[in-house]
Amino acid sequence: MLPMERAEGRAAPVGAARKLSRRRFLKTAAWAGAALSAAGVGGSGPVVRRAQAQAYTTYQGAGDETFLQFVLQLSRLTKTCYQRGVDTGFFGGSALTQLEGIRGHYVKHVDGITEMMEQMGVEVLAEPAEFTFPQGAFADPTAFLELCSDVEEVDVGTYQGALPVIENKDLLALAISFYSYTCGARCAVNILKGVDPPHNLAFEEALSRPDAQQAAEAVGLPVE
Amino acid sequence: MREPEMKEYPVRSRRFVLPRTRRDFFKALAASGAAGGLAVLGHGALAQDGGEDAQRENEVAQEGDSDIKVANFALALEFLEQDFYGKALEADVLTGRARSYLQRAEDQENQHVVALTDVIQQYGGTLAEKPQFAYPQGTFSSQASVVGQAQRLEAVTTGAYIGAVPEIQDPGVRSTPVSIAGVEDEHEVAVNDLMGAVLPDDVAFPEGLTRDEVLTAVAPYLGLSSLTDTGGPPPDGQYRRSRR
Repeated sequence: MLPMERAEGRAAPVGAARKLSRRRFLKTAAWAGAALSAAGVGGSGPVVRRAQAQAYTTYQGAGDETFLQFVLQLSRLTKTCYQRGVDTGFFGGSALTQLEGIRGHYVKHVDGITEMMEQMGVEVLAEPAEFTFPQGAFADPTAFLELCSDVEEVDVGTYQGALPVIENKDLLALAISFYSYTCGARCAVNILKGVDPPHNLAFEEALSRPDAQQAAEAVGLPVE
Repeated sequence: MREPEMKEYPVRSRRFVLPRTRRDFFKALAASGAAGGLAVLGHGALAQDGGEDAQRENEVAQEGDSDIKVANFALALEFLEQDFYGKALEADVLTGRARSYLQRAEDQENQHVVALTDVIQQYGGTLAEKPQFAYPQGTFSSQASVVGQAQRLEAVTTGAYIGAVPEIQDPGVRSTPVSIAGVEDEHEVAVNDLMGAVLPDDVAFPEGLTRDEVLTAVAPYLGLSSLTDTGGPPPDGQYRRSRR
């Protein structure tokens, strides 16, 4: 086992594994900012913010049921991602404690979403037989943490894109809590990666619905 | 699709020392001269007289809160954080990671103020004025006390957003507070890391706070140095996330 204490994690180079999951992810996922980039707009100024804020329009009409089914599969993928990372044996000490903690929280998210679906009478889809994580994503600690970042970005972007149009109040209350946790998990992974400061975005980035689906596929969610 | 039954999910435990009664609490606030800050936070009526009639009036008003009022409520909290981080950095007691973490947080809170201001104006609302804030003695005297206060403020703000977002009806208004809510949770995690938490993101279901709980928590920053008659401010560390 390679003990990866947080102090070591902070010092670890993070660029080496970007060629793995992240490249594929960013190549295939048309992020919400793509249209802005095409228009020559970058950064996080008001124009970008407003355009980001419009991502919710792509979820309008899809319904709470569709959202639930998608985030259930995403949460299952996220839970599995952390489980596999823990199982690699790369991590020890506080890094392992953190990863096991995050894994456990996503297990609770899966349970919470499933219960909500059952209460709402929404069909609970079967868990995919296998998630197709990017090749090499579990080859070393750095590659794995990059995958975690990518997965968290999909989770955050999906929740943030859909939250403005969720209609059911109970579901909305649940989703904003899950979303909040997920943003924190994104930050926690940044801490493990040595990103300083780890809270490196002034605004979370929303994904449009088609972009979220594409991005989820890029990090391992099988196409229906 | 069936409507879901009401169900309680396990939530982050943020224990607040609540006032004995709502009336006592708001009477004390009104007497303290914190009415301006309370008005910003949407409790202007109670701040004026703190009576039962006003309380009932306020409860009715709460039910009919417009999206803009909720956005202004969020703006007031952002003003507080902006003010706090600005003073913390001016105090020049921060070094290393603590300084870089809080410097970034201040920059982000500034952007949140601008974003919420934009939304409120875009939807034709009237902007709340920035209140005058006060801080417990010694808040800015050491890095440890600054980071401790930051932890408390971020926990309150995160809980406030989680509690307030479901009140917002219009998706166009809701989207900005949603985006900010996640960043506030990140701030909480980052500050927990500064405090040495092994698992800084340690609760699967962060809990939302009611408006009264938020008001109770921020009252000391509105000029109330003591809330002993109303339950008192939460002791240090009480806002830390509990492990589940």
